Amino acid sequence: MGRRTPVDNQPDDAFLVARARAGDVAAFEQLYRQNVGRAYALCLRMTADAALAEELTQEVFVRAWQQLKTFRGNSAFATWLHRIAVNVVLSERRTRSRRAARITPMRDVAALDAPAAPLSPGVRMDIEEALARLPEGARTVFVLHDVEGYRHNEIAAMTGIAVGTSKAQLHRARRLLREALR
Amino acid sequence: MSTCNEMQGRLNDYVDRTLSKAEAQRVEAHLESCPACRRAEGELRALIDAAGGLPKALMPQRDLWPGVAGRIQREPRSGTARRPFTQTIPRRVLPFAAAVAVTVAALYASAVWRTPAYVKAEAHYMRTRAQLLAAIEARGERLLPGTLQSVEANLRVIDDAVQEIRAAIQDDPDNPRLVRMLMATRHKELDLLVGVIRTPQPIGGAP
Repeated sequence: MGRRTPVDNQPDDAFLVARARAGDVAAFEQLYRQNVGRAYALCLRMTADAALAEELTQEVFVRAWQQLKTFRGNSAFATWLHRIAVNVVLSERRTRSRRAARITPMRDVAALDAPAAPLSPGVRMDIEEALARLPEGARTVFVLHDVEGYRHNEIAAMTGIAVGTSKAQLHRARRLLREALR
Repeated sequence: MSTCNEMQGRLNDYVDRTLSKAEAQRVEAHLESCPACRRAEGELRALIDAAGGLPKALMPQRDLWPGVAGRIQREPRSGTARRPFTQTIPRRVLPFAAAVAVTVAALYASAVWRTPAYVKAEAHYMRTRAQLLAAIEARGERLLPGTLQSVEANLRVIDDAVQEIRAAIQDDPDNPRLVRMLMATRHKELDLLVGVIRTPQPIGGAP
């Protein structure tokens, strides 16, 4: 994990995890309620789409439930869940990209990475709003690095891009955000 | 002397502290003589601070749990069938203590009726419930099969009721009656579990 631990461990986590692993849905619900805000924040910032973020957040917890037996307790449950959340978002993106690749001519790759709406120079905006307008690749790296505290080598391993690409996307994101927030 | 164009890329590495000492000193030398790059450095640091200070948790507009619960009931874990709760209790045994009853009483005496607090109240409930289940585990083999089946059936009814009340709270989060209803239902569940523990053991006990 990076410079900041995503969430401090909760004192009851180990107990709740043990109960949930044994099939106690109510215990898992408690874990859900303790962690849903973190998972949703990550999904929302990485997708910039509230409806999709809700869908992915549900997927995160379904996957966590299914994979609970693989959680060994070497890290905090929240950290383990956070990594699942990143994987769920990236997996959805890869699926979406493959689907798009089948129907979209790839003549202009840069256009696929363009912001949904242009950043308006001179308009001061909230950082969350500016973040949502970033191109997907730049937004992903910015959220993982500057918001969530992952390092470039961790981001590269998770996303499948080179460390240099991760740095380049981060610098691009910061430049676009600075322009938008001026 | 470094140029401002060269600085644009290096400033990021500089504020991230990933430059060598010599490179960092070159950047600092340039910053001392260049107000534009100093301003850029300030913007960069402010942006990184702002990003690091964003709230780590954001709550979705609606309760996503019913959707999660529905799916995990429909899609059991691979290689595992859903088992009755009495079979899911771990083998370890925790002694049942009078403190459990005290906890139950304290929880409901605290009267945490307001909507934002009911989640916290449910956390207390969960701890007490887990202790009660552990206590039942301690004597599970001594309970009559009919008792266990009855308890399981009642717990299912209570679970259904909780889900319905939760859905109603989602639609009307400021309604204290719904929260009271949720707490009362949870209380019934605890009463049920306490009742199981107090059930006299069959003559002859466990084999």
